[in-house]
Amino acid sequence: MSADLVGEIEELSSAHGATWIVLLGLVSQAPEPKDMDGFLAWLGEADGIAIRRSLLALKCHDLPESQLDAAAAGDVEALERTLRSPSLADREAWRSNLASLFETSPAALGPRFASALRRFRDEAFSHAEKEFSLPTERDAAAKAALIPTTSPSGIIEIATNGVEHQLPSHVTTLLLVPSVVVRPWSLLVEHDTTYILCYPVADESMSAEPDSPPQWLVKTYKALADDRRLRILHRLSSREATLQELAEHLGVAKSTIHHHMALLRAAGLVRVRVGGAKDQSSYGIRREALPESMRLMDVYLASAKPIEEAETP
Amino acid sequence: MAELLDLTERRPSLTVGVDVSPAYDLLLALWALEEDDLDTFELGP
Repeated sequence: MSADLVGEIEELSSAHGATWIVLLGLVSQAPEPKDMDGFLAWLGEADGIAIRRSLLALKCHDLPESQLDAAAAGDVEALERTLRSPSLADREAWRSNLASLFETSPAALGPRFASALRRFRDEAFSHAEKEFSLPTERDAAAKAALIPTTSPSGIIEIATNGVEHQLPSHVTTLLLVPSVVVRPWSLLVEHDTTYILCYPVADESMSAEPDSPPQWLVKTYKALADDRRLRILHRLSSREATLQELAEHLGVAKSTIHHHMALLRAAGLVRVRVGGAKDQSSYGIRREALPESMRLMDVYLASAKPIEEAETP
Repeated sequence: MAELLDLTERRPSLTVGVDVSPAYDLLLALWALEEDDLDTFELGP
């Protein structure tokens, strides 16, 4: 990247990427089409006072709304009070970043961000943008297909490869955003009452094969396709058990059971409770996972295109 | 402390959706490289 672009990026965000986190929230609000040109054009004309308000809200959402509104609108005293507030006491980098950003007039703020993003795209991101497009679209379609019949927690768990999220009750919208960049991590961003979950695009969506099965589906059926593991599930159906109890039940070494339990856990077929009797972890069956795996198999099979359609030129 | 919600149950007031835009990954790339040397930014093969 050119030196002046590096300098501009550093000026816009010098607080652990907080500025870009705020702009993520603006993408969620942008009108369609949300392709890059459409978004950058919208950002270039966006209300600078609203952008300022979003910047302030990131770390100061506990302050009175009227104070934040006044600060965003240009009330110097309100801005100084906000910058001196306890909310920013331990966030010197962000406070300094905010003070710097507020030196740009509201009318120039949107164009400045849009210009920097456009230059970053041209100089460093255009290749990645093309490469990421298909996997991202493919993964979005796969997750959207799950929404009507899967609980929010179930979708989050699938999208993040096992992360359990508890959302505050004031959240009205959960937005799933597939991302290649964050792989294999996830990033949760709060924007007003919307939670934006940037989750890693799944391996199967990265694959060039359009009919690749979801990896969690493969894991589940591999986990079930074993005599010992089915016996373990059978045993756990009556009540929870420790590794030692399972080893004795099957007449195998504890290390062997450990291996099987790892596969069953990875497939989401068992749950573990830490700190039971004698401070040992105990395992239980996740009965809901079995009908869920069959339903997800149905979703995968239903994604196949009809033969007639596929063969028609 | 905010009241936490058990998401194993659906609630009518919660909307769940998927949003796609290349702008997300562009911003996430900027976010991810904040701690790194901006001169050495690279993505993809």
